[in-house]
Amino acid sequence: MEVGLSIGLTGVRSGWSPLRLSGLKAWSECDRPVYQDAAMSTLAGPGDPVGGVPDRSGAGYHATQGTTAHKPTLVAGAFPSGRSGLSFDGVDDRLLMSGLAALFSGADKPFSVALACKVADTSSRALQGMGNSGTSSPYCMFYVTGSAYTQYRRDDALAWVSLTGPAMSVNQPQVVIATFGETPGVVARIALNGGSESNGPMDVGATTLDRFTIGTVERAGTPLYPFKGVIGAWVVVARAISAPERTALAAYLMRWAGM
Amino acid sequence: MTDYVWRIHLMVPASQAALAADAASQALPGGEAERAMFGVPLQRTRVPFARESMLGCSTLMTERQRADLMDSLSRRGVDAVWVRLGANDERAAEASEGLTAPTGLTWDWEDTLAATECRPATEVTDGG
Repeated sequence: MEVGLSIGLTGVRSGWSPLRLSGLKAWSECDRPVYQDAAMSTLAGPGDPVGGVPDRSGAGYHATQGTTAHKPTLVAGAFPSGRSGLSFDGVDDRLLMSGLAALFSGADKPFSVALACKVADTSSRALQGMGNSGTSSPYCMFYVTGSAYTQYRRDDALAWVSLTGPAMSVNQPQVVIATFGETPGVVARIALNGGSESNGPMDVGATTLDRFTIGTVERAGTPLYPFKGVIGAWVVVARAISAPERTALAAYLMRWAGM
Repeated sequence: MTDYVWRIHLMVPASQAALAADAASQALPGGEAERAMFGVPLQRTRVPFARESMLGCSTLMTERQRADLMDSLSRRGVDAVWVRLGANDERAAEASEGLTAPTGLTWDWEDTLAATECRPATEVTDGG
């Protein structure tokens, strides 16, 4: 008699999932059902605009968009895993997570954002941002500028600070994690593919935010540095996650993307 | 098979923003949410800035939506500038009068900006 014992570490079935992260606020994967409308009633297929992406975290921060022109497009087989992603047009596409920015509005409110993405060019492109619906300042964003992932934060008094992170590769699937607000020192980090990482202080004043977006930073209704490329999954946590958590989250998303 | 067969690059004069928002809210499925359609402020690149600033957007559309929006803009007298592309291949299919977009060639937003002598409005300090 032969007894087989195997432990699967491939796919997205290693046993670890973002649900293990305390403070998890949003977790979305675009290979699962996504919707054409913000009310999430009409399923989207490849080539359709996407106005609703359900949140799997249980916190209810679905990503939505009610304006047709601002909806990204569902793309099948966008990642090496064969999983789908959303194509953002680099003009005005973005998804809004209503109510989420309020959690991070104020002085040095910590958070973490992770994304599986492919960036289409070397222009300045924001993967994620938080802005104010009434004014172009303050805001903060996780973006690529030139060839590097970067965090930028501008406070209510227009003081700003940025952190340059690892290099970006055009049209390559990548998993990036940005954390902010680690104490002491209001330290921010940017980690790429579970490996190279940059960190440094990002200490400015109070930052009043009410718009949390994937695919740009929206300020007074206007997109800044709209993303061009594909985003397939994202995770948002209401604290600066630890080094072991960054490793686990990167490994999870890299498996998701087939990297 | 998706019904969203077109990608449209569309610009309207800033002075006609309210009329264009009315047109979008009447023609497109999102109703009042469509008023935000023309949300990208554009600056003229050529000095002197003889023409007024524009508001732009890029959007997927079905043929029915495209026809309804164009009709809605026209009925309100909005001077829209546009390029229609195939949604799959982003090759130019047609452009508004006075705008040259070579039919059958790949065309992107930056080409539309160049053809209209516009660029997105940003602040000097954006991004540090």
